Amino acid sequence: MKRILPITNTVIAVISGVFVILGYFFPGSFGGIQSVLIGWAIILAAFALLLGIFNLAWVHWKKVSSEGKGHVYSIVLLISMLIMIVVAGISGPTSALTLWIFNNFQVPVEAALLALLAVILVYAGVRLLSRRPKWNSILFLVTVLLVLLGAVPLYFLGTIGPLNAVHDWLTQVPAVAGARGLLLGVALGTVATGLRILIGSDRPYGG
Amino acid sequence: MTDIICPLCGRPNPPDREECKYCQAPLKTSGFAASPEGSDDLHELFSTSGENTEPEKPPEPGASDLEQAIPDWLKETEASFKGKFEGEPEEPIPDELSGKPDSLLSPPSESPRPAGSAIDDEWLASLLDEAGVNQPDQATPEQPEQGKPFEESPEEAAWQPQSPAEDQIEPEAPESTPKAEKPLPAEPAQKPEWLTKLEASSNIKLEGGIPPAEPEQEKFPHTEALEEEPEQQTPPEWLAKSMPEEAAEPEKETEKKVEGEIAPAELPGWLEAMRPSEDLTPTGPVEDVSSEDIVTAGPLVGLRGVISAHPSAIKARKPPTYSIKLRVTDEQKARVELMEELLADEEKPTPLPSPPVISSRYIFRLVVAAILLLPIFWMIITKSQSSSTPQPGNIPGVTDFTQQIQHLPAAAPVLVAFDYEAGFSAEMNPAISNMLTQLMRKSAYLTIVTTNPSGPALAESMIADVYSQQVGSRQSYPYYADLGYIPGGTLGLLGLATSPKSVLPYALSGYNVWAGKPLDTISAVKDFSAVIVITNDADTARIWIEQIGPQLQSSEKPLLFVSSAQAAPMILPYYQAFPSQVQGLVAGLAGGVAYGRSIGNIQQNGIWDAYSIAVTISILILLVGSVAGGIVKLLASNKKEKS
Amino acid sequence: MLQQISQLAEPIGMIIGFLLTIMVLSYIIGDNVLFRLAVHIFIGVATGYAAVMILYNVIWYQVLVPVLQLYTAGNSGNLSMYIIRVVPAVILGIWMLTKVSPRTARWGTPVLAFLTGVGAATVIAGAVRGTIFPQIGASINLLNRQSALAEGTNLVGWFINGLVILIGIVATLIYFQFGVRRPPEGVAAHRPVILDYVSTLGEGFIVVTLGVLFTGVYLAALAALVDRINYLWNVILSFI
Repeated sequence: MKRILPITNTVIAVISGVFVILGYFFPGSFGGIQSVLIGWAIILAAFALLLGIFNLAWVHWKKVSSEGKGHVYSIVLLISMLIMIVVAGISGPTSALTLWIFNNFQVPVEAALLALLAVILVYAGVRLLSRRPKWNSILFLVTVLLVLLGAVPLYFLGTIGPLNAVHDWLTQVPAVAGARGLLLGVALGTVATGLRILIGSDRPYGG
Repeated sequence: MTDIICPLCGRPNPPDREECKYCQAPLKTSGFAASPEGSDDLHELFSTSGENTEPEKPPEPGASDLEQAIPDWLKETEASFKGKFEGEPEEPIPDELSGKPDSLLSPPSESPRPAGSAIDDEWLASLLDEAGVNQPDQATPEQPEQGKPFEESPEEAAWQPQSPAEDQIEPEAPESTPKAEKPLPAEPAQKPEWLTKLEASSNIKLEGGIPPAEPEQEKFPHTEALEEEPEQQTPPEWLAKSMPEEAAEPEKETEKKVEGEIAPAELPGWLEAMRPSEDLTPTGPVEDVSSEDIVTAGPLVGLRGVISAHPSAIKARKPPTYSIKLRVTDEQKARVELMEELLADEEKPTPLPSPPVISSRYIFRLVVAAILLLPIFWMIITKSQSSSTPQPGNIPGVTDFTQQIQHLPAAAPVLVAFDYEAGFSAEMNPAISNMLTQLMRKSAYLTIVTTNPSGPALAESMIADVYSQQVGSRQSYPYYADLGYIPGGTLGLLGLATSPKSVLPYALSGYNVWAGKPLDTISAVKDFSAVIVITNDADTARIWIEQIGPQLQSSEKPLLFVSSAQAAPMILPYYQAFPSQVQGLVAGLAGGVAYGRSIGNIQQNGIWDAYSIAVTISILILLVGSVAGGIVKLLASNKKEKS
Repeated sequence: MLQQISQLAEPIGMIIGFLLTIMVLSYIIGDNVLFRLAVHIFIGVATGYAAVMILYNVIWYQVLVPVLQLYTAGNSGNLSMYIIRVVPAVILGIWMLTKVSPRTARWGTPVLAFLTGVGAATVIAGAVRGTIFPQIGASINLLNRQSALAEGTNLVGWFINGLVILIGIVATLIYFQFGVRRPPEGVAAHRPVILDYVSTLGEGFIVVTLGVLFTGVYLAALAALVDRINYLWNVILSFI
């Protein structure tokens, strides 16, 4: 049994993947089966997400029941989750009450967290040269300054033509070159990893 | 005939045997006679066959161990030799002994041996040397020069029994007799084999090699006895018979031997150094076993100090019990306790020193935050609106985006994906609101989808806010359907691209929007007039482009993006591709404001001035702070190198 | 009553938003209890909303409502579609719940294998069709005169930019190439020297790209910071 199950898992992964790829190349013949398999996968993804949320709640529940360190925060988390589920479940995900909770609890906190990032990033930028005075750090900092100078009209100086030109050139030529190289590299890596899964040599599902 | 005692194992052997029948050691060269009773090894080996009736004299006080080991008969022999040469006339040697065989006798030159001359026998001489026996009456013969054959000194010649003296036999010391009569070999004295074996078995070891014969008269008091003995003892018959036949030969052979003898080798320095000092007395046995019983049977016969194998010797008794309690002094106890305390402290985790609440880094961080926040506060409080807004043409993608939406037909079904996080609302809301405004002006049918769980809430809020602004009252836009959330990310988009009806059969409101217009004509995503994706994440944008883009390209439908500034650099390659994969792009707050200008919405965003001054202050902070930090680092590294 | 409640909802909401914003921004001073409370409230609300969305969009509308419709409408045609598209998925979904317990987790592996296989195939096809082919084509067309004419830009500038982008793409891809040929024994493995130089050039292009990305992130965060301060001030003003 211990040998059969891993082989079965690999066979399932390979066969399902092959049918999906064939649906791309032969949509007429395999399009239907591809659509069915994708439909199953979407529902399964939803179940997986539910499982993850349940696991999160379970972990915090155990923390509360064992009265571990920081269990007060877990209580707060569980209460807020419960309230949201009850309110949104009863009134609907787009009801006024649900949106009120969403707009007054989730949006302010999420926006404030991103606002905090601005202070942290500028502090990290200031300390960059003092920590790593190398050529690539200097190039990085110079790029940041030049892009910032041309990103928006400066308050005291307004729009400066040369700075805008430098900003445009930096963002549309070398940055695009690097970004395209990164995208191609990511895509090639994705293809390699996917093929390894489809030929059965890589089993991230634990077969 | 008496048995011969083996010098190695000490067992008696028949006299006719040449080798010991127990240990195969040669017997002839030693030829020890068995002692009537067990005695010490040396006495047994040196004793004559049954003739050694003299009891062992007690050791002289002050005598060395080696002296004590020398049997009394040997001492007597020495004494007799001394006495003989001192005054007694020489007795005529019997005829039968005139021709001594070379094996037993060593006929030296015919010069008379002077009284007190040196002892010819090398082994005896060396033995007596080591024993420290004085030989006052014997003149020391010249040491044979190295390489030269041994030349018998006049004293030695005198000592040698002239013709009768030559024939005299010393049966008590058979090994000495032939050597005494023989011309001593020129080579340095070599230990006889039996002596070597004797050393191995005896407790007393002779140190160094037997030096060449140095007849020191002081050291050989026994030579007198030795010299006397030949007068007293009669040679055995076999020896007497063999004497006349070989009388003529020994001389020649001796001469030949003298000529053909190997020259005494020069002893190397280290060997000379090993020569036992005359002043040193040889060390005695480690363990004094003289008082122990002598073993009378078994392979260890004759030895002393041997554990008896008799069962009665092993008395089974309870082993003594010893207390396991350590005897520990108070000082040791104190040290043990101290050690235990030290070890116990090792297991305890040492608390980390709490970092100081206020450190230079902390203050620096506060200063940076204050420098950044205070101007923003000031701009917002003063509601400044002096900064110029960016031009649409200066920002890539804005113009194309505007044109694409403008080219949409009225009431066209447009798929709008709200795939951004709520935190990016501040940055993207201007662009979203302008886009929705433009679409609402065209009465476009908005089909809302999202791959982000919070997307529907954001969409509902935005549409309600924008439409309320347009109409002036809080109303809901009539031409839209919120299909909700698609799980699965990439999988969900592929499903949406190929069969959106099966993936999202109902709107969040519960209605089957696919049954009514205009979505009844929609079977795939390519049937939409345009697809507008609102995202803050570059990966989400890439997934939309990869899954939905090919479908739209085939039908030449535009794929437009409203993105955050952080995702724009990764979307630009798709936008700038030829043929383009993204037909329009509005990125960031600047892009949104520029887009607003392009559609005629010149309403100044209240935060634009604050945003502008924040960017300016950030540039100054980065510039000044980096330069200062770099200089400080440089100075610190120079200091380090100098130190 | 409801109207009063709805009227109070907005100011109450503003106060809550104000307090939560202050609690989060207090992290500038240092980590504290208020910040952690605010973050845990956010996580609870977000996950609760996500759970409701899944239950509504998938479980309710895709699984349960079709059953009810079939029961009420009695449409056998859709039944077959439902049995093919939904029932196996629900079975697989329930089967996947065995992953909850460590003892039964092993039995849920086939479901994950199916998900992995389908997902791998999807990303492969998307990467090939959506990125590799179009972007390589775009790289080839960088020096295509038709694209220049389509843009209507200066040819010289267009050519130089195209060349720079092409060199940058190649150099960036070479930077990620780490394989070397197996050298003879005793010799250290090393790339050819020319590749080292090109790789350094690629590193430069990547650094520039990352600098631009960093700027974009910072601008987004700065916009959020400005918006939050504006919000705080508006709340203060509304209560003054």
